[in-house]
Amino acid sequence: MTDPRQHLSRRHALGTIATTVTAGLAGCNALSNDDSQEPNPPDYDPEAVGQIVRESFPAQPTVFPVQIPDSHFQAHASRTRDLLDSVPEEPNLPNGAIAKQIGRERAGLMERLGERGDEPTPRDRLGQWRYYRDHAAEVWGSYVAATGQYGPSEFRDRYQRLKSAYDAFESDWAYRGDDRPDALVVHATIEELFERGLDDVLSTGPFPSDPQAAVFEAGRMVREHEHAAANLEDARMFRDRFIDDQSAPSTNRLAFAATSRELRREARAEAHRGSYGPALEDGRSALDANLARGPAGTAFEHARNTARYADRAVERATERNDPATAILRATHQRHAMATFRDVVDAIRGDELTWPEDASELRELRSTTTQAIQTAWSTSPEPLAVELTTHAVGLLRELTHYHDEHELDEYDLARYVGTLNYARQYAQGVPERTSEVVHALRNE
Amino acid sequence: MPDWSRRHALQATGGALLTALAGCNGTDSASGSYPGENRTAVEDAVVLKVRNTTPTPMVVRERDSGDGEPTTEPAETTDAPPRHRGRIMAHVTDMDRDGLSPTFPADVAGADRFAAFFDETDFDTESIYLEQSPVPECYVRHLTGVYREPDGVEADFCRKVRPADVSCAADAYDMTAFAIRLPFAGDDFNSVGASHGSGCRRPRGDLIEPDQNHVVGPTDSGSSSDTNGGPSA
Repeated sequence: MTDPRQHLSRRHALGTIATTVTAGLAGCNALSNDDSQEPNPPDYDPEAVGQIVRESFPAQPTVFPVQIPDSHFQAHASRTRDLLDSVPEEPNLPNGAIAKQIGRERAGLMERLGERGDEPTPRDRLGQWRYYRDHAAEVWGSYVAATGQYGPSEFRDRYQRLKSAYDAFESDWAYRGDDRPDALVVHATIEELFERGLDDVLSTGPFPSDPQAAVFEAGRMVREHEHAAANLEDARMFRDRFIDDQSAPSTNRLAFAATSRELRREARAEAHRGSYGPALEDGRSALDANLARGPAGTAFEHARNTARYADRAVERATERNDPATAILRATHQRHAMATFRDVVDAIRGDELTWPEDASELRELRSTTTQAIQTAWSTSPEPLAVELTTHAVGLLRELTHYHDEHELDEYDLARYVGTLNYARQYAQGVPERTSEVVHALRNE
Repeated sequence: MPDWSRRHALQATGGALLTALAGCNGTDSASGSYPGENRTAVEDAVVLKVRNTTPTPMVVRERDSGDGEPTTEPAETTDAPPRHRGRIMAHVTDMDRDGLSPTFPADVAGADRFAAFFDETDFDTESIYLEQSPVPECYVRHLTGVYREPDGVEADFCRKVRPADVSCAADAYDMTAFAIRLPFAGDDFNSVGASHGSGCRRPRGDLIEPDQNHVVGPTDSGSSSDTNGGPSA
């Protein structure tokens, strides 16, 4: 496969399609942000374009360092069905509206359990099962609250058990794993499960003193506890299976903490590189270019929004003392800023505009896919795949959107702009992956 | 069609409110503007709330149709599905019977309470915010606030399901009406609104409830039935 980095300069990486039509649009970069002067898209063959935008992108490779055993999925499924089986199909409650709603929720969830999911990865499939299980717990919780079988003391007991289990997990969590980049990816996943679950344990208010008078509120609170329990089970499974075949796995907590400090420093420095501050702060008005409704506008907004707000996730991970997540988020923050600069350069160079025809649109799609696949195949793959998540997520949203919507000019601009942005982002992933690996090994 | 006086134009019955309530999951405003802007809470309102355990309106509005026969408002009182019947939202600033004014059917339980409430109101210095709408038998509606705006009044309501051990049918409706006596005449007002929240778990303001919530039924002649805080209120 050809590596697009080998023949595309940073500026031109965004403009392979655009260059062929630049001549026809000469002078566009002098235009103001005026809708009326927006260059219209070429007159595409709608059938060909429709076919291109509805094509799905390649599936994300399953390279996560922990393989989820079937028995673990089955445990979630079994728990989900047990919860639902404990609720009658047609609950017999004095309050007909409550009975009807619980029965309807139960039936709806039962139906969805029988549907085939299309989650892209095993971890996504696991998340789907957690969702089903939470939802089943809400139905069950509402029912047992309505029948007077579940009250504040039961809720308090479960809170204590969950809190103890979370405390025990945390005290025994040393971020073990012999392969540091793999450990980074695994423990970042565990951190996310742990934090979300712990939030559900700690953030709930007091259980209704009269659950029969607040059955749905009671159901929601039971759901939060179930979510916490399911998250902890998954976190434990990932941690235990990751070090299962390692005789004396090393601990990585201190190394991750030090690496995250270094990468956060670099991310902050990246934000001040070059003279891109006005474009970042003021948006389109800081650019002397016509962005309205065109692909450049979409690419710019993706790049700007990502670069502007990426620091929040870094801060959150740092505040929570989640070093693995902080490393990934700081890397994303730094890369988002670099990508933003590239997008701004391409816009200023008038390199980011409409493909001339459907075949050039297909070419854009193809080079974007290649960039994603090149990123995925970078070693170590689990880390590279994780760092590509942002771009892949945007492309997945595009596909879902076009599965359900008729294509119009705005949608097409969004498609072209998103492809350009995702490609640019993906092209930088191999370099970022190397940086993270280097930083981890130096600690 | 008779020429409605300006003060009678303050009403918004039936259709206008139905539109605002359609698909209501969170909060909707029937006044067409966002609640909370330029409005001040009316602190000293007097509230009458009555729930009729049938979907029969306790308040109707009659006007001269021009042919000598009175016309009942809202027109869909008898033809519409139960959940749409008897809706009234109005700011009543006088009881001028030449226009559109509230009447209280003598044979409907609870109507006499509203008749007395209106009789006790001095429309020279006071006015009444009137809201009536069907409520599913398994739900209860609460008033969470009443507000004065520069040119009108608005009230906030919420709705929540009744306890699980209350016997009620999912598809049955009762009628609930609120009459809120406001300490101003409101002659120069020209708007009236309501916002409806789907849950009372986190009301935007304190619950404003009358000292006594009255529940009346088909066999009840309207005698006092204080069920404040009780299962049916």
